[in-house]
This record gives sequence, structure tokens and C-alpha cells, in this order.
Amino acid sequence: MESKSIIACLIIGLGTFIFRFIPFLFGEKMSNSFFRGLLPFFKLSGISIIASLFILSLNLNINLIFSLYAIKVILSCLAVIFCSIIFKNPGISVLIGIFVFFVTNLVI
Amino acid sequence: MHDSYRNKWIFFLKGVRDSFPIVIGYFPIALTFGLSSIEAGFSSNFSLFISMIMFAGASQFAFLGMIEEGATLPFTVLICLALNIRHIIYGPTLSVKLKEKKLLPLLSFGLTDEVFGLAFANIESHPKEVQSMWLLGIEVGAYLSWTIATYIGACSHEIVDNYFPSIFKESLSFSLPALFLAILIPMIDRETAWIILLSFIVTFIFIAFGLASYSPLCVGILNPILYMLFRGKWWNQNL
Repeated sequence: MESKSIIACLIIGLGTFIFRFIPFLFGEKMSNSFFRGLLPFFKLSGISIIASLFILSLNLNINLIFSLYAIKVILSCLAVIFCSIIFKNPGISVLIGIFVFFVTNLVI
Repeated sequence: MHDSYRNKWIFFLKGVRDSFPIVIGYFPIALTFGLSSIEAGFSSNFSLFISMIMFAGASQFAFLGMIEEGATLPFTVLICLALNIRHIIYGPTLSVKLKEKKLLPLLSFGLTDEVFGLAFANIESHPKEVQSMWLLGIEVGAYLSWTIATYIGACSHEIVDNYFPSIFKESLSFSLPALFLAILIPMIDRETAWIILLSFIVTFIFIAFGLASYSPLCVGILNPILYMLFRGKWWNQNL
């Protein structure tokens, strides 16, 4: 499985590099071209994908939505939201979110 | 000439020091990635390889998740690339502020969400001639944290399994939703709140119909179009 996965990784790595490098290289030219009109689409597309991945990463299903797991997730998410607003530092928000999830796992 | 050379390395080291908030955030996530990749059936060396080549947290986890769910490799590649499309806006946005255009290929490789956020907020407070070296320092700190933590996570899989209670691993499993949420929060405003809500609804529908792995790509394409249809006018706005 790993040999095929290596090729997949290389393609993803190369593609990601191109996504980062080409617009960076032509940044100033793009800002005055037709491509600028597409930037809002990609921004909204990126936000949509992150929002979707957030839900997927919670590993929810219909049974879990109405369980204690949902309460733990909601409390931990509230901690992340609160810390993101207060500290404006994703690192601290993630650490506190994990800590709150750990505590809720112990308590609930 | 010598002073200028020394000055650049001083700002490089300052960048490494300034990357500390990213290092704190990346460490548990990369550690979890290392653990998860072993559980997905990969070796510790391959886990490190993934982190070294991709250096893109969300798509790395998506890669693992989709392989575990049995998705085909072409589809997995497509999803991971679709997920990283958002990176195309970072370069043009940052290039407006970055006065020195050296080292662009190197700087592009390390331009993750968090690096972009930190650089965008602080780069103008540094002298023009050292901005690239400072940004490189940020990226090197972030990259080392990400790759080293991945390897530690992958190598310590057995230790975690044998000596740490399962509650520890369960708690680390929240690092991924926490990361996505922490990235999402600063992006929320009156316009994007609608599209995030739409993404949640569409993703729940996909989960309910057992099509969870297809949802990121579908919402990435459909949501901006749906948003345009229902809310109109965004196309000409400078979001």
C-alpha cells in the first residue's frame, strides 16, 4: 500500500506547493487581472471545506448526536471558541480544547 | 556587507523565536497525526515522509481518514488538493506586504494557514531587507515542530498504547476538530457565517446518507455557487 501512497503523497505535496508558489510569484500581476475575480470563490471554497472537515473530524453519527459524547464535544468546542476570541492564538486554543475534552472525559 | 549578512541571520533566528505560538499548536496535532498514521497501517518512516512532503495538516489527516475509509487513491489526491486550493489566496495577499521577493520557492513551501496568519499580522513591522529571512525563520520553526512531533508520535505509538490510559488517546483525538475550529473562528464574519452554516447542513446531510468522504469536495464546489444564487452580489465584492 505504501508504494502507491508515496506517489499519492508526492502528487499532493507538489500540488500544494504549486498552489502556494504560483500565486505568490505572480501575486502583484494577479491582483490586476481576471483571476482576482475568482479569489472570492476560492476563499469561500476554502472556508466551506474547513467547515465540512470540522464536522467530519467529530466522527458524528445519528446515535452520537444525542449522547454524552455530544455534550463533551460541545463543551470542548465552546472552550476553543472562547480561547480563540480571547487569546487569538490557535496553538493555545487547541491545547485548551484538548485539555477541556480530557477533563470532560474524566468527569462525564 | 558582513553586517548585512549577520543582520539577516539575526532576523532569521528572531523568526524562529516568533514561531513559538505555532510550535505550541502544531506539536499535539502532529503527535496525534503520528499516532493516527500508525493506526492506519503506515510505518513511522512513512508518517515522517508524509509530514515532510505535504506539510499541510488538514490534508494530511484527510489523507489518512480517506485511506482508512477505503477511498481510492485518485479520489483521495483530488480531495487533498481541493482542500489546499484555499492556499492560492495566501501568496497574492502576502506579496502585497512582502517587499523583498527573494527565496519565494522556499517561502511558498512553508506557507501554511498558521504561518500566513502570523506573517500577515507582523511582517510589516520588520525592515524590508530582512522580511524574507524573518518569514523563513517562522516557517523553519513550524516545519521542525511539525515533522519532529510526527516522528515522536509515530515512534511512541506502542508506549502510548501500553503505558497511557485510553482516555489520553481519546483526548488527543479532539486536537483535529479543535484545530479546524481554531482556524475557522477568525474567518467568521457576517458574510462567511452563512456559508459555514450551509457547509454544516450539507455535511450533516452527506453523513446521514453515508457519503461523508464526498462532502469536502462537494461543499467546496457547490457552496460558493449556492451562496451566489441565494445571497447574490459576492462576486464583485472584495471579501
